Amino acid sequence: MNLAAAVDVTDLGVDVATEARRYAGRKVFRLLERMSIPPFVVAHRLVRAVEGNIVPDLALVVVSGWEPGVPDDLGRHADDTESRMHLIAKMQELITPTRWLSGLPNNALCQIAITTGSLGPNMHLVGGGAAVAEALGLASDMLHRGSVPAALVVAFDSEEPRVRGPNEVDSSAAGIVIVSDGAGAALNIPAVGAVRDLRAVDALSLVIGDACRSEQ
Amino acid sequence: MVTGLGAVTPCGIGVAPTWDAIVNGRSPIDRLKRFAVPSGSTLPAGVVPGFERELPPSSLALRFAEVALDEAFADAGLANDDCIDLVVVGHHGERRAPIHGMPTVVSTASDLCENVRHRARATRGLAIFGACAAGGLAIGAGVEAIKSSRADVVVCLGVDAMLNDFDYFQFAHLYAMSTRDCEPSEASCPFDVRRDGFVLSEGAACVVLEAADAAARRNARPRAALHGVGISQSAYDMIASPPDALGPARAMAVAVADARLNPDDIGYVNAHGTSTRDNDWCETLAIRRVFGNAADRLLVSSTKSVTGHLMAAAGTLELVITVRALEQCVAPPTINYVEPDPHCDLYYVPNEARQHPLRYAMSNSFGFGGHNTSLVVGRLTK
Repeated sequence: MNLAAAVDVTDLGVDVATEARRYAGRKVFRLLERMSIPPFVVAHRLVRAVEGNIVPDLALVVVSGWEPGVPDDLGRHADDTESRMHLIAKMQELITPTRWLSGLPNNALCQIAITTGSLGPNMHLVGGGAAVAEALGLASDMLHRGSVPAALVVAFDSEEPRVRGPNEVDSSAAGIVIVSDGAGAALNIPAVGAVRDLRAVDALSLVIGDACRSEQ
Repeated sequence: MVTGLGAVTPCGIGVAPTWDAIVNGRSPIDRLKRFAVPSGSTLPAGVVPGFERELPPSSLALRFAEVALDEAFADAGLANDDCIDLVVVGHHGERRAPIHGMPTVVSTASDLCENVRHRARATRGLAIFGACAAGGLAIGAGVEAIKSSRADVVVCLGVDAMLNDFDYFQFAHLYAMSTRDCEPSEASCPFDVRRDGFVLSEGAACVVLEAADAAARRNARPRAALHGVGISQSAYDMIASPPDALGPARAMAVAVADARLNPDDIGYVNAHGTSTRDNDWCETLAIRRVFGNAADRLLVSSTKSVTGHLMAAAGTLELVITVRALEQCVAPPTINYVEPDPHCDLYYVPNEARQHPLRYAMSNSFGFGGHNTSLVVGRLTK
């Protein structure tokens, strides 16, 4: 397997939001919170590196250790029935459908698919380096069996550990396009044990760095 | 090969009571009593028996997962020293409203996956977030690992406990759940013109998948053969089904091709059939696109008419049900089917199960975010 293209964490500039606006219409951009913007931009840069006619069929796998929590701005309430009813009303006022949807872990993957027209096999994996190793294994399997012409694997993580809200902090993101043959550095899938303790984005960044070094 | 099955559902603890309720059309859906809801809110819900009255501070999802896992292991005849290569879990996470003194994040998908991996003594674990398609995606990932020889034995588990005082109200706010004025057990009516949304349920289902030679080596008793997997993206909207149904149709077509079958080899489809206006119409169109004239001879049913929608557990549960359907050559019914929708014009096994020779069946799961999965399962002939 070869890396046809890669975008590492350090390749993203400062103003990724402006770049994201270019790829997303208004309907999509309003669903892109700070957490989803970097992986969205990484994916779009990578899609532009492949032949346009294979985009609908490529596999899309996104990996992240980030999972949403309950927003802090709900506050804390006593547990009598009246207070609970007030809390429910406040939840529904604050957490609009748009806010709830944009906070789903698979939001970035879905907006990538919607804006690129990628219809192929797709999964959002939750986890760190071990999940990245599994993602690369899955992608390679599909390529090896000829199920897809290429596979896009993107990883992103919150800049601060255990942050739950999708709009509280930025994320870091990296991504690669894998093909079964052609030009590009050879892909080395790391052993699960070697990357288990890494964040997903750091594990994928390691894979990119390893490929670049082997190509030199 | 499918060698083990396990389930915890509103119908009961175990595959046997679940299948019995489904095939006999006995819905366990009742009014939600677990926490107070504002007047006018959605009321019907599918609660696992024994947990009707309380929402514990600890994880319900983990409890469900452990019971389903243990049953699947026992069914597969797996011993303590049998090697499990991979556990794949579909789960949304489990939260609570910020009531004073209670934790708000009770379980994350990665935490639950790690707990299940540890209990299964598996070498590796993988957590998938795929909304209502997560269970089907978990099975798809498991099949992929076995086909490529990255694993011999994979445990696939879907579990969700979203009938909590946070997630429940988020779904209500999407206006995706049924608010129809009727008996709770009648609220889920897939493909019926009166349908107005899904009934939220909870539970877990587990399947053990093994490479054929691995199962033979330990003299396992396979229950069914998983012949094909199709996974696609609708790439249309986070919630709405695509009006052309191409995404779901693509998943089904890929699954049939992966199984090296023709569409008319499929005798029964366990539909995603959520009882929403959008999904049921779209799925009908997708089935017609894939099966063509053969669609008129298909038996199609939604067992969510009995169980409600178990979210991430739906895909794994419906594979369990499809395996049972193949074993017994019985297509389970779509209950509450009273007023046909002219836009949903397939044969939905209305209200009573139907005995029918079945060789191959399909199980569909479609999720928020455009995820589509379709599985083709075959009956094992003795």
